[in-house]
Amino acid sequence: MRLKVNYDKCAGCRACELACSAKHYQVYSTKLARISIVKFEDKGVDIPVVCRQCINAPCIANCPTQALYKDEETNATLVNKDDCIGCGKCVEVCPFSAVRMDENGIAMICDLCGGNPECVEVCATKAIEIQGIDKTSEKKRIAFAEKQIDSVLKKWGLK
Amino acid sequence: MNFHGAYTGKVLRIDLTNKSYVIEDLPEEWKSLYMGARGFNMIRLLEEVDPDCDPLGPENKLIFGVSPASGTNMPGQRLNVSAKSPLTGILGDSNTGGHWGTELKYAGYDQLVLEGKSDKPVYILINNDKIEIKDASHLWKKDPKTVHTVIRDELDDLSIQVICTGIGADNGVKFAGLFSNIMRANGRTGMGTVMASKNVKAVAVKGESAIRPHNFEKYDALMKDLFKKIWSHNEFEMRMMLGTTHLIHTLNSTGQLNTKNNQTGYFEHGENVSGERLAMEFNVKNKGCFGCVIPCSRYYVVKKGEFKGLNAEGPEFESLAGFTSRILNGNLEAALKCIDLCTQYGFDTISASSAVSFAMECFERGLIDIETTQGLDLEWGNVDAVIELIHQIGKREKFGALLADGILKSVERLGKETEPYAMHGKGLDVFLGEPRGIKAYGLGLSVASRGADHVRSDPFFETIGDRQKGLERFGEPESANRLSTKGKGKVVNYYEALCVISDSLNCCKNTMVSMDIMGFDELAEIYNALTGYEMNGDDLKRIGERVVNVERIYNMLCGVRKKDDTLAKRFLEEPMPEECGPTAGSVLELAPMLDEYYEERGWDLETGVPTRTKLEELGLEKYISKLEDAGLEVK
Repeated sequence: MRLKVNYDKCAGCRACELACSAKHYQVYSTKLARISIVKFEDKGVDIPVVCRQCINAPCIANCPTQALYKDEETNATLVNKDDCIGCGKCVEVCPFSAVRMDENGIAMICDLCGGNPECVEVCATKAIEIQGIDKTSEKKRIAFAEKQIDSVLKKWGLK
Repeated sequence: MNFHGAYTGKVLRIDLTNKSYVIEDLPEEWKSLYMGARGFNMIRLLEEVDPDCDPLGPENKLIFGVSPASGTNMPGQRLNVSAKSPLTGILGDSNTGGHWGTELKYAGYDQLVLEGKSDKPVYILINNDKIEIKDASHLWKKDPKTVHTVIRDELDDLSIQVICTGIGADNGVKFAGLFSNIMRANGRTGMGTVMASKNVKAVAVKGESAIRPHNFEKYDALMKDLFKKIWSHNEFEMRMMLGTTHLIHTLNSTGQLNTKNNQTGYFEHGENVSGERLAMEFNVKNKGCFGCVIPCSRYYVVKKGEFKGLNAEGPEFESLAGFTSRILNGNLEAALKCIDLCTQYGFDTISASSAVSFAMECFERGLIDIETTQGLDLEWGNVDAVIELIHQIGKREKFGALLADGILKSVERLGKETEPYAMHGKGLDVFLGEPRGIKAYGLGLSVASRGADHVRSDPFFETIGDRQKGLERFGEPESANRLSTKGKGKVVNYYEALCVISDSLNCCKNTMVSMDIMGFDELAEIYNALTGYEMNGDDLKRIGERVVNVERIYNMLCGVRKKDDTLAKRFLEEPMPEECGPTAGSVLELAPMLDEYYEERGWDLETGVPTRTKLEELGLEKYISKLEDAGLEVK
């Protein structure tokens, strides 16, 4: 699974950041969150930035100490704190700029809260949702195939 | 840095005259006596700001207060800003949502005090414990959007939180507020005017601390329970869709919508300017205060017509009704334009729309004419003229200059005969409900410590109509009947204390008060988990009572007397007209409610002064001599 973001729905309230810091650090902080809301107040636009849980994750591939690995059950990218040296390579290579480091220099990457993401729980506008990776690609495949129906029907004189 | 126990215990005091600052300890005893935010600000005001001072002089202080809950996951956090008010000459206080207050807490402060006066325009940069006072000559007389954008650009920091004045405050308009997140207003009582008088254009703040409640596990669990109560509440979806704007339809359908400067409670074009129409045709998404799980603010875009391209956060009910029913304008898009202009000029939309409707009624009655208005045709609903008038007030020019100092000054300038049409209490313009149709609100407005304001008590309880509940809660079945005066002294007393706690914990009154989600006992449990204190519901109620009395003392030292606990005569004498349906024929019978209120408060029935017994009971006896020095008898 991964988090899906509906950019046009985010209310910019940052409840997700607080839920995240509470879950992982037992404090309330916008800086210690693995999800981050970037607010463009002059345009009224709020954009949640969060890990996409890439299948071929550049952060994992580039980690010099192999501190990052995949959770087999949830597909979340996990950090082995003991191996993380705080070099920042994962921050650098993340195509979504979704990785930050905590105050001890340990990589902060969304771990999907073990399968029940707290940020999704508190998001009242459903700007962040859980997305099953396989199911979505299936839907996309069907949607692509559907678009081809008309050309076939036209050929058969039915459209 | 982590703050345990949820208070930072620090106060940042900035002296603008000498461009210096000091970080002080918060008086330890204030925590359990005054809780936070509004409570802290009110005791600071009483202790430090001379009631006789010029509100626009260097001796006035502008106080920003946040709470122990600020920065946690308490839904929808807020900020109080207080000073002596230049609009009313008494206690000034304003409350806003948004994100600035939280950032002040993360920067390490429970309170910020601005004192003195800078010799030139400046803005203040608070970066955790680093404080800078920077030149703001390039920002003076600029609107909030420009100020936010320029400061963020020059500091190269998109996420820095900014609170600033608009154009109007810099021109000395007395009902100018402070604006954060560009469109969030500390609207009431002219706090923007006070900041501009100190030559401060903005305060930018960045904080990096984390907050850890005294008992994190307990607090987090209490918050999760609270979230569930909010999500399962029968008003959840309505509030997400409409925010407070549902009140246009709700109040109009029962004849209680402030219409035509309170000449009536029914607006024939009400549905055309309703929150429902706004939601269906204009809203594009929700917006939220910090950490909210019911983000009920909305963002709208006007997609066609004369105002195509107009977009902003909001509006709330007060602004929307202010520029529709109050001025008899049925054009929703034009109302949005008026409200947007008020943001640019940095006005309180309640006072700004009241200035307009007051002028329109004077115009209707021939008390002023087109010569007085210098060519403005102030016929009801002439929204083009209203737009022009907003510009004039903001720039303090032509006819607008006469209205720019608030309702009392406007009466003084336009003549005594205009007084009956000034809809205010203690110099503060009334809200957009109709006090004759909701009598506890009428009482609440009359006694409210910042002038006629509805969210000092917000006694929504009287509208529920459940006689059994009325009997249970206040010993009077009629206390739940909006048109009755019975039991309303008790109702207002209770909700004033609850509103103090809501303002002192900086939580949202929509959820805490209007949705009736939490009482004193539940709030005490939350407060204890946050701070480690062991208080019960009665202790919290006592804090509420103490703060109300501190405010009363300050106001009485400013010259408020029992005779001022009232509203414009129209509310007391003119029955609501026939078209108001169930509200028709109603007037506000204030006297019996006031007596009950004073009795409940422990204030003297003849003078309205808190009694010696009450002040001693609350630990406020040190102020007795001050009251006596001011010529008041403390019985």
